[in-house]
Amino acid sequence: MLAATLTWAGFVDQASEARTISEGLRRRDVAILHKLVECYQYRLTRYLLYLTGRQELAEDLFQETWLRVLERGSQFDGRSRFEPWLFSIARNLTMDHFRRKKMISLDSPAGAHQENNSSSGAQQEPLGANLADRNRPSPFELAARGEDAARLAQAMIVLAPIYREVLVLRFQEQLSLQEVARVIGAPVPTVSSRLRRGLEALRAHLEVATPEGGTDVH
Amino acid sequence: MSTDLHAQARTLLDRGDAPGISPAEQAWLHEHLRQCDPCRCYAELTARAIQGLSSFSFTVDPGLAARTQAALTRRAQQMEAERARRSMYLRGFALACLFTVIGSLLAWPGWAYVARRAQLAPWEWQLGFSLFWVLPSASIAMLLLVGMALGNGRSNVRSLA
Ligand SMILES: [Zn+2]
Repeated sequence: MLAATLTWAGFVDQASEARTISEGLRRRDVAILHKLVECYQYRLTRYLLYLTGRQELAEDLFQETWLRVLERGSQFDGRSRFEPWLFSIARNLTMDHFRRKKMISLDSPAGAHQENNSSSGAQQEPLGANLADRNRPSPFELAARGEDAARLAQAMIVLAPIYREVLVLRFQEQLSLQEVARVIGAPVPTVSSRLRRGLEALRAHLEVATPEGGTDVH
Repeated sequence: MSTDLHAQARTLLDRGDAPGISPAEQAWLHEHLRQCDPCRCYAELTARAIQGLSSFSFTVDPGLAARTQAALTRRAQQMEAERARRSMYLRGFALACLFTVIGSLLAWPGWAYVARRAQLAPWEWQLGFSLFWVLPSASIAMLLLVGMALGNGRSNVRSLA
């Protein structure tokens, strides 16, 4: 975590790390911001890739997110971890972007409809033009290392962003269910339900290769 | 074994090793997986899915951080310049207000004295005082306030762009 990567800067534990970041942001300390950009470079880009499915867009939103952090830095009170706050800013900017482009919102009725569907509900065409350019490999296909990952990359292409984002936040960012709920602005049961649907879709793709796997609910 | 127990095991598995799972729940899950083949397969498949996600290695443009840092430095300088300009306008406005109020109070007896010597009617020198003393300093204060508001509007538009 960041605490480990920033110990050289004098951040001892997560609470003091959050406080240091909060004070730095309130002072608009560019040096702290530069360190944060370096530390979160991969993780924030990865989250934005899961959300948008597009490399260039993720990079644009990455830059916009940090400018917003600079402008709204005083709103981070340092009482909770920095990551959920950072990811919620990135998410809001992504939603604004899709709204401007008149694409379906991440939390639009279309998303809710997908959630209410049965097990295949998570596997629908996501966000308008998202991942639609099939002439180019998706970022997930490019990122896949190994056989399972290649299969999961295929699942990611058809998985709606609302499911992809809870998967990355929970299993890659190791955020708690409550923190994920704070990032996406939804209650914890919704997060659990999206996680279940997301994992269901991934398992379905892995199962194709191992048909003997018995996963029927009794 | 009841359907509820399998569903419960799978719900726990789908949450990942969340801190919300108590040691008792973990022990129960462990025991259930030992006895139940379908749930064990489910657990293995879930673990493979999560591991598979972790094995993704995304490419990040090596220049992205440097570009972002440069943009942050520029924006911070811009914000600092805007802050300095706002504070200058604010100080000017406060000074103009102070000058209008305190200056008027101090100048009033002087004007009255000169007017008496010049044998002016009260309405004449009072109008003169308003036109040539109060109005100019109040106008300057207002102009500074308008300048500050216009500057704020411009910076809001810039941050939205
Ligand atoms: Zn079972």
